[in-house]
Amino acid sequence: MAKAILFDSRKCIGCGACSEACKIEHNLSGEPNPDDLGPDTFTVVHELQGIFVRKFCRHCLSPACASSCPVGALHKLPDGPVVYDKKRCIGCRYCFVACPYSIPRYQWSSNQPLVRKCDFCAERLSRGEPTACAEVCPTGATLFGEREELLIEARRRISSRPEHYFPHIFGEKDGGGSSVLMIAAQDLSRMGIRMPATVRPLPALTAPGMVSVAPVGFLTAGILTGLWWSFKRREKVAAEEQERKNRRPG
Amino acid sequence: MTSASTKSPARSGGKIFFALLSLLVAVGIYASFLRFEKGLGATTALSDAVPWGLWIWFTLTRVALSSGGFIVCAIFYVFRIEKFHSVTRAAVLTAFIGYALVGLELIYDLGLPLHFWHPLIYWNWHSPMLETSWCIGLYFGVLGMEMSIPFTEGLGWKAFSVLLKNFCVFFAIAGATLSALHQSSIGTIFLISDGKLSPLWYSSWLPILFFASALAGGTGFLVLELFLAQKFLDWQFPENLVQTFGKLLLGLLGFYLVLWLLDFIRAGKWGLLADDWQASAWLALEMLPGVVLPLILLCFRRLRESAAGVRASAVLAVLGLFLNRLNVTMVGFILQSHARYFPTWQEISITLMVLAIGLIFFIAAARRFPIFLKP
Repeated sequence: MAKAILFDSRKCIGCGACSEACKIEHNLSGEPNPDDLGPDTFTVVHELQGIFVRKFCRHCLSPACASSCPVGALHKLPDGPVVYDKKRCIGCRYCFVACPYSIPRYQWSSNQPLVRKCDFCAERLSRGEPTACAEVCPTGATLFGEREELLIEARRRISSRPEHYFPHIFGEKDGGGSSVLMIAAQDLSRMGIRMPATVRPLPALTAPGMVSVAPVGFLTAGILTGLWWSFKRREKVAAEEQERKNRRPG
Repeated sequence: MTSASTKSPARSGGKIFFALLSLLVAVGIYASFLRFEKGLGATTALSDAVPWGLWIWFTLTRVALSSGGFIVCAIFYVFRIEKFHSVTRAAVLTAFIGYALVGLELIYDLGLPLHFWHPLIYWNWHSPMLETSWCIGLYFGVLGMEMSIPFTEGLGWKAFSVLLKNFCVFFAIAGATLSALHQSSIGTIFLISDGKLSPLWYSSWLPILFFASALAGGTGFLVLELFLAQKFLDWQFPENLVQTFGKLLLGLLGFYLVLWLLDFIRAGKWGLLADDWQASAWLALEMLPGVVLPLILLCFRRLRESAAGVRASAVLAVLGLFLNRLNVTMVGFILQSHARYFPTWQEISITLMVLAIGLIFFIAAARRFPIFLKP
C-alpha cells in the first residue's frame, strides 16, 4: 500500500521542528526553517495570512517531473516517494519547468549542480519507519500513514468541523493526486501557493503528443515517398509523350 | 582590373568584420572559462524560478530557423521543382551549422555537460525532450550526409560525391520526417506547464503551432541569408526564385496565422487579452510586426515580386519567430511567476560567440566548397 502524509494546517503551530528534523535526517547545512526552500532545505513552514502551511515536494501520484525527465533521473517508488538519481541527471532543468508546485531547487553555486528536493525519507520508508518530519511533529499536524486511511481521516476532520476547514483536500485529485495531502482553513490556491491547473495527471498533457510521434513519422515519410513517386512518374510520362511527338513528324 | 579596385573597400570592410567576429569569440572563450569554472549560478541570471533563459531561447529559435534546410530539400527532391536546385546546398549548410550551434550552446546550458550523451543510453520515452534530442541527433546525421556532397566535391573526391548523390531523395524524406517530428515536439515540451505558462500562449495546439511557425520563420531566415550571400558572397539570387520565395513565405505565414487564429477562437482567449495588459502587449509585439505585417506586405503583388518587399517580409518573419520563442520560453512564464530575469554579460557574450562561430564557419564553407550554385 502506498504511504502518504496528511498535513493539517489547523494543527500546525509553525515551530519548524519538521524542517529541523529534515536537515538532521538528510545531513543538510544551514539554519532550520529559513524563508524558502533551497538546495539544502527540503521543507519549510510558511506563515500566510495567519495560518501555517508547509512547503515541500508533494510526491505526485503521476509526477510531471518524472514524465518530463529525458533520462529518467526522477521516478516514483511504489510506496510513494518520488526520488532522484544523480547518476543519470544531465542538468537540463526540464523538471523545474514541469513541476506544478515549483518545488525543485538547484545547486546553482556548484559547477557540478544537482537537483535537490524532499525524497519522502525513502530510506526510512524502506526500513518501515515514518518520515522524519512526521515523527518529530509535536502537534500531529504532519501525519504519516496509508494514503487511503489518511483520506478518510481528512474527510472526517472536514465534515466534523466544517466551520474550521475549507472543504477541499489539497492533493486528493489536484494534478492527478499526490502522496502529500493538505487541509486548511482557507483555499490554499488563493494564498500564493502554486497548485496544478487541472485535476488530470500532468503527464496526460504531453502523452497525446508523444503517442502520435510514431504514426505521424510513418505517415509523413509515407506521404512524401508517395508524392516523390507520383511526381517522378509524371515527369517520365511527360518525357515519353514528348519523345513520341518528336518521332511522329520525323 | 576594374574588379580589383571595386573589391578593395569591400575587403577592408571584410577585415573589420572578421576582427569583430574574432573579438566576440575571444570574449566568449573567456566567458566560457568562467562558466565551466564557476558554475551556472555565478555566471548566469538563471534561478529556480527562471530555469531556462537566453541560451534556451536562442537554442529553440535556432532549431526553428534551421527548418529551411528540410523545406528546400523536400521542395527540390520530392516535389521536383527544378529552380530550387541552386539553393539546396545553402539551405542544408544553414541547417547543418544551425544544429551544430544548438548542440554547442546546449553544452553551456546543461548543468552537467559531461553527461550530455546520457540520452543515448537512458531513455524515458514519456519525455518530449528525449524525443526531440533523438530526432535532432538523427537529423544532424542526415544533414552531415547531405553536407558531405559539396565537401567531397570541393575536395575532389568525385567517387564519394557521385555515390552520395544517389541517396538525396532518401535524405530529403528522412530529413523532412525527422524535422516534422522534432519541430512539433518542441511545442509538446511546454504542454506539461499548464498553469505555469501564461494561458495566452499555452494551448494543446502548441506542437502544430510550433511546427507551422518554424516553417515560416525558417523560410524567412533562409531568404534573408540568400540576400546577404548575394551582397557579400558573389552570388546572384535569381529573380524568379525571389518571387517564388515571396509566394512561399506568404503561404506559410498565412497558414500559421490561420492556425493561430483558429486556436485562439477555439480556446476562447479573447477575454484573456483584457486580463493581463503586459502579456497582451508581448503577444501583440510578436503577432503584429512578426506575422500580420509581413503578411500584409506580401499580399501586395508589387511588393511580393520585388526583392525589397520579400527581404523586408523575411526580416519581419524572423523577428516574429524570435519573439514567439521568447514569449513561450520566458515571458509567458515570468509574467505568471513574477520572477525576474535579465541575462548576465557571460550569457550574452557566450551567445554572441556561438553566433560568430556559426558565421565564420558559414562564410568559410561557402568560400571553400561549392555551396552557392549558379542557377
